[in-house]
Amino acid sequence: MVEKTDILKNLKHELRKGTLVLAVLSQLKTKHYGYSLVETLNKKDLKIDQNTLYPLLRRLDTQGLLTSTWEVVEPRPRKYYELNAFGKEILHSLQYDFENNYQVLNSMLKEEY
Amino acid sequence: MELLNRYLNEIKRYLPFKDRDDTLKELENLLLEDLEVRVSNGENKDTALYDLIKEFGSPKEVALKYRDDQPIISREMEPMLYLILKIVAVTVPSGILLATIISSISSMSPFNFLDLIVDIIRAFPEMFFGTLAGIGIVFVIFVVIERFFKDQIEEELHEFNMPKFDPKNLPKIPVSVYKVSLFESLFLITMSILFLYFLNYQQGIISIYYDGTNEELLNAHFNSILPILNVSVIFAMIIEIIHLIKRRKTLITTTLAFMQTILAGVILILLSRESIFNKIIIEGYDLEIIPKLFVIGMIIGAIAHFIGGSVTYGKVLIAHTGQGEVLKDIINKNK
Repeated sequence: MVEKTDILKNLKHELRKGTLVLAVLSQLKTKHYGYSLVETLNKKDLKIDQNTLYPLLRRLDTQGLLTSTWEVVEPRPRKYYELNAFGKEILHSLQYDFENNYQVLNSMLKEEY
Repeated sequence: MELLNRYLNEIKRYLPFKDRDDTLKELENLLLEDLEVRVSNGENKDTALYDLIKEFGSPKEVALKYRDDQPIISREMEPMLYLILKIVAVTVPSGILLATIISSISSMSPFNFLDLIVDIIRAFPEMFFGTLAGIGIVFVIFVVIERFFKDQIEEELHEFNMPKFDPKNLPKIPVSVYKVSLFESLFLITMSILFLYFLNYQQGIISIYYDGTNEELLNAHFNSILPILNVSVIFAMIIEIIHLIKRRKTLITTTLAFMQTILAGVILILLSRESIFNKIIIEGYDLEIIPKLFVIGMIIGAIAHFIGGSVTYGKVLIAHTGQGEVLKDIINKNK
């Protein structure tokens, strides 16, 4: 028998998964490298594990949504990521869908029994 | 920093080939940055690194997040599949070996130890192909479970896969002589399988083809050397499989590999005789040049095995005893 906490954990995880991409894309309007993006998201109360964010950044980069560049900022090199034109277009479209869904869901959740 | 290198080296094992070095370089710098922040907050460097790695997760877990491909057997099922494959790889050949020993002894009167050894050696290809078939069947069963019954064993799988990652257990980075070339190992294993298959089951292919008929080129003398040739090839293949699984060589496996190289050299000398060829065919088709070239090739091959094997093993021994550094110092001083 699967525990209640496990069920809740899995459902929360699924709920968060889609919005995480949106959050990351929204913050990449300005240039960030992995660690600075984790810090930025954490400061805005969006807790994300480093080992989740770093692969996600690379995936978005591979999909062509980001521009990535290596820059040497002493004492070590950093890989910076930023939204490119295609990424901005995708973000815009996702944002529209999210806001639409939010309104629909909000009104559904407020319905009286 | 040695722990960080060991950690990155383990992650590398599971990362996809594409952009592997770039991913590792990025990860290394991100981890170093995090470490720097922790140390500047007053943490002890070693403890901070240990905690950081432990929080970041096991190397396999981290690397798999970088993979987008969907394997035939899912990652939750993978550890169980590997365990069962290991069991099959041990039990099938042991079973065939035991059956061979029993059948051989029961058919002998009186008992002859040499005949028993010959029977065991002759059973080697059967043990090998039996294991291959076993592995194939297990794989098919897992594909069926994956497709139709995975939901029903979800809970058991979760318990089986419970992570127990401790950075202290990360293996040390192998020195250069102990590094394994993935392509070399895979190539050698593939070639060994083909070699075993053709020489044991498709020997007729090595023939003279003329006017729609074919005459076998090798004769019974070759077949008397075949069992020891099989042992040598299977021996080499097992060593390569161990290297591939461990992704590193050890003093034991390199010693075994050295012994195998010498054995292979001895076999090449045994093969370097014209009598292994079908004399009637050779003379009939006027092909005397083939056995002559073959003998020369085998002798050159044997010498190359003895010298190559000894040099490679010598390098390993020097590196293992730490004499490499001493020698480098002596050379530098003389300069």
